[in-house]
Amino acid sequence: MTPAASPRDPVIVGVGESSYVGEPGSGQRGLSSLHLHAEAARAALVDAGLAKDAIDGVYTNESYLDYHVRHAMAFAEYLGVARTARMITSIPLGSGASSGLFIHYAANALRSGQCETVLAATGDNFLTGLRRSGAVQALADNRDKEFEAPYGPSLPACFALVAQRYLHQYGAGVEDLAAVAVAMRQHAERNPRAHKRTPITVADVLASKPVASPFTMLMCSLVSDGGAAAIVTTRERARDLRQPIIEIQGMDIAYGNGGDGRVHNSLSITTDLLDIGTRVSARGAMAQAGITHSDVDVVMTYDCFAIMPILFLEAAGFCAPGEGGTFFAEGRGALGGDLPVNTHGGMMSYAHPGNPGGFFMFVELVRQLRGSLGGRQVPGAEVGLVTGYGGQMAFWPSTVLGRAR
Amino acid sequence: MTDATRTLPVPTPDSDRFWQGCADGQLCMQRCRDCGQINWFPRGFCVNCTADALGWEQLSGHGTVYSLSVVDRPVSAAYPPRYVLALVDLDEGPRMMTHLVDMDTEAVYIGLAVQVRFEQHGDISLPVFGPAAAGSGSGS
Repeated sequence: MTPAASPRDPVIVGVGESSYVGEPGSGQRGLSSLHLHAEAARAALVDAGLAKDAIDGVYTNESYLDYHVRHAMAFAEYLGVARTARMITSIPLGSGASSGLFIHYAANALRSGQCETVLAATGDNFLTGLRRSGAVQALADNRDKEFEAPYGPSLPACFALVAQRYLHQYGAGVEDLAAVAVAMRQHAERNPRAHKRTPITVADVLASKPVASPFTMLMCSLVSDGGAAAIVTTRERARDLRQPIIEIQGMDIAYGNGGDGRVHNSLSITTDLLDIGTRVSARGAMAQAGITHSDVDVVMTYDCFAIMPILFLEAAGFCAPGEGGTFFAEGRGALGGDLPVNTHGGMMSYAHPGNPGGFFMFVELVRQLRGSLGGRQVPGAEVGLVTGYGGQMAFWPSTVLGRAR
Repeated sequence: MTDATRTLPVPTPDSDRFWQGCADGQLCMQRCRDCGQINWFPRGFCVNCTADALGWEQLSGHGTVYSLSVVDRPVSAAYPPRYVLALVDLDEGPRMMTHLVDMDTEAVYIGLAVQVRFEQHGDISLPVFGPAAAGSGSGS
């Protein structure tokens, strides 16, 4: 049953990205993290047709690279947010969940009446600010500092533990993982802003440099620069704005992983790496939206490594456990397939600058639901699901967005 | 291999006893005397029943590989050019992140029975796992 519309329902009225996503053009210097945030925010304001002073709520994500004790305040100062703001705060690191959490928190701030127009912004310069090797070390030290970090758990290696277990449990092959990377690249080929657009084959993926078994380089996300932002306001205010209204129809979050009934912060405290919280949160978000699987036209999944879209689609119930690789190998997740996934190209081909990696999913989905994507538009897309995660397989937001009904 | 930039644990009041056990060649964890729950990571009171009654005990040091990855892109030059990151399920229940050592990287697999050993890095004895001695433990 479709929930009744209320004037204070949260809706997305603007999305934006930094002037470049991926790497700076030749002769161009890399922008700072705050500059990338601000460019994305400005683009989202232009997209919404709003002046900066309309913003009375600000969410940012703490940055891996550019530490500020009060990150959101540092950004609000940089952008010049008006003193009429009612809430300025940052949420914990957790790139993959960050965008989902922003949308959830912004929606709650609007529903409660605390704010009228909330800006959520991210920006990181992993590529120019840290270089690839620095990024690897920084992310490895982000594990438990006593009982995990000493073992050199690079981020690819941590997700490789998940992937290896998956291959073992379902008898799947590395070709299944490669099929995901190929599907994402095919989407990026249609996206002129994508960081990597050269066509690749399953053989290319398998022949790329070994990183952490079973992953090769092309099964891992990129290291990029970029920023992404969104503006969320009430249905009432959105009526006067220029863009088609995109509703936040359902949202849910589940913590933890496996069956011990407690949250975890560290990978070694999980019980079943393959039983991800999306199993709960995707169904929760869809139930809140009053939709079923067949209503979903397009899906955006966090795809830091090739295993994740497989786990997300299985957990959300779009394919059976063990069949996620086949789903991609058969082209069902491609543009033109049953359920296009990550039409922008995802983090293995579009870009992964850090926190914005997960936010690009929302930017892309809003554009899909507006019908504004031209060569990579999913025809007639009305409803989409975003699934993310944060921490060490630790928190799992799911969000349903839809064209106003 | 140099330890110059390798990330090493800094023992805390919660974990001192764990690292002391490692230095003595023993893998020790906390068990609650009230409810019997093993607590991992070390902490101030029981994660299950909140009782203060945590005591330390030596575990068997035996376990089974839950998952593994052969890492060919070390996080820094302080690590070997190739190492095996693993999650090992101890016979007593807890799961540890660790390295698999003293084995050909082609010969490691999920379900393999392993046994703890300790690598010295400065003042720290770091638990790692190698092949279980024949006829020992229940991990096989």
